[in-house]
Amino acid sequence: MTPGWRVLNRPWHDTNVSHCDVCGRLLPDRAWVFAADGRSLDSCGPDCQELYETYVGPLRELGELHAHH
Amino acid sequence: MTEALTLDQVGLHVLHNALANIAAEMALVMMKTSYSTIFNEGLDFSTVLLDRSGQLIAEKNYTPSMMGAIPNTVRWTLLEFGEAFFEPGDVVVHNDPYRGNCHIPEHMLMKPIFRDDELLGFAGAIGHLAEVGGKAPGSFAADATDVYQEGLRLPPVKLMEGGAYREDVWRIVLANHRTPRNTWGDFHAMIGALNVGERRLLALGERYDLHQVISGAQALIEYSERRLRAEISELPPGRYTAETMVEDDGVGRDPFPVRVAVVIRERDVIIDFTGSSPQVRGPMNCTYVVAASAAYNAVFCVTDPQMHIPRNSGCYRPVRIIAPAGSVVNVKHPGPSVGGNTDLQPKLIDLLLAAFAQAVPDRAAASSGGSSSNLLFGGVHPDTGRYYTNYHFDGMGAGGSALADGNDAEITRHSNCRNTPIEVFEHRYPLLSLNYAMVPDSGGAGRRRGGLSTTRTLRVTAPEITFSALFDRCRIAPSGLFGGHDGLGSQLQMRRAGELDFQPFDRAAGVASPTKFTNVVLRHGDEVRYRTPAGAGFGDPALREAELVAQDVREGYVSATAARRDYGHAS
Repeated sequence: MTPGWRVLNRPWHDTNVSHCDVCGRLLPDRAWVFAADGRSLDSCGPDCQELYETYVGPLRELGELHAHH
Repeated sequence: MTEALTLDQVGLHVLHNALANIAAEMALVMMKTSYSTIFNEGLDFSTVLLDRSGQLIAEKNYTPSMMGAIPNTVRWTLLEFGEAFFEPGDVVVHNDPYRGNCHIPEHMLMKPIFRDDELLGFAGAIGHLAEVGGKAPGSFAADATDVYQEGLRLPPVKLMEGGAYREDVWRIVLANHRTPRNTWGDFHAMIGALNVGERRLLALGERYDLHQVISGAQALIEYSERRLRAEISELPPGRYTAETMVEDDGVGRDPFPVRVAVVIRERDVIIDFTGSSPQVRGPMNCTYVVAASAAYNAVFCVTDPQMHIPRNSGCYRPVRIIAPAGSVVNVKHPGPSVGGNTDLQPKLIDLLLAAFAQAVPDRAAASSGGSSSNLLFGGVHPDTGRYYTNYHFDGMGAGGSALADGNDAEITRHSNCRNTPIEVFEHRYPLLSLNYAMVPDSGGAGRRRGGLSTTRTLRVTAPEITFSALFDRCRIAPSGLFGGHDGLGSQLQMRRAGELDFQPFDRAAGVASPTKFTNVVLRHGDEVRYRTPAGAGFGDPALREAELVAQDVREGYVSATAARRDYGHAS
């Protein structure tokens, strides 16, 4: 898939919030969606994709990240 | 006629001072006009200026624990609602822990600053309201199991609209806080600060060309970012890990782990909390922005302890934070989080400094007391017949570092608040302070000694008060570094009127936890005695200079017995 922005269209009465799959920050209005390790990840933006590709992904491959993340 | 503002080093320095002074004047307004002691004595608030996109450009940061929230609350509100949400004369309030605030008591008030129809930026005031409803007077429910028990949650809504009261919102807020008069006064103190910030920024734009001021603020942000990246590039690159245990969550009795990896790269640093406990049932979870505050606090301690770099959004950019949602460092709805801000955050800072100590041992510190030692009480005041509540804290010890002994009686390195003087305390609340002192021998021994904790005994002078507490570091003491000894842990006890002995609250009042409980009823003559946790020692005590040990004994910080036992000192 090609990375890109997805707008989070929540109705005003929906009180749920979304979080970045990479860093955990709030996603207030939109998500930068990219594919990694065979799944689609919602993130804050290209910066978080870069963080995944240079840090989270390589560590995950080494098995150094804990399971619940 | 406007003056020229050249954006060279001198001009930027002048501009930085001008913006910082606006934030400082806003803070003075809050201190001088607020009703609650937590604002006018404790200074548990910060005032800020932000640009049009919500980036921080200047601050008066009394309370570093709010650092993570400040750059996020306004920006995320802007992103969620859009610029069109803000009109001239509006004031928006927001305390939602799931949308960028620290915990339920922390309220961010933000005011858009317009010149004509152009949005220039925002004035902001963030502070801990002393009472916001929920299950316990003082809104600090140490045994809460969801956010609804902690108080009234406000997503971004308008308190003022076009300069007029949004009376429906005020009515809801005032009806749900136990001390609405204080809320009224404290909110108006915050609004007054915002009005001053607005006026002063516009006046600065009259004195200099307004768009040069805005360009200069952007240049200051970029300058701070360059400076912090340069400091980070001086640190030894690598991945440094640390782990700590928190003694309980306020509901159960089991300890839980928090883990961090500090990854120093060429131009940035990653603070990775992956592997920390899933969120717990009680209120010791923290929000994302609280974990971020801890991260910024530790990074700034290590890279720029003298605060030479202007504090604005540029300082935050080189710090990348990973706090998995649903974990104890990033609570998800409906998890409670009131104690995460006050009692998990200082432990996160200690944890981060323990990780940094592996890279830069001379810039780290041993564990601090690591608890705000929160006491809450309320009732009908016998002198006034009015309902009152208070959120109270006392100082603990800071950890020793390579450079110095830990500070004594400091109200946590993340909150940096002041204590309330006994005269003010006794005038406002029906409690008599029978003693108030630092605790000798409490600081962990070390080449640099841990700071001393404090102790106080209170006697109830009203027919009845409702008493709650959230203490920590009672069973797991603050840990020493590089051979330094642990600091003395905390203690909290009570004695019913006429009884001989003090007892822990679980035995005396039948609550589940001795240090985290709500709504214990105390009556006239009952007494509460507590000791806050002390700082841990840094380095082998045998290496402490003999003259410093002698001075400690002479001045009562260390007893002759402890000097012999811990330092081998014959006094």
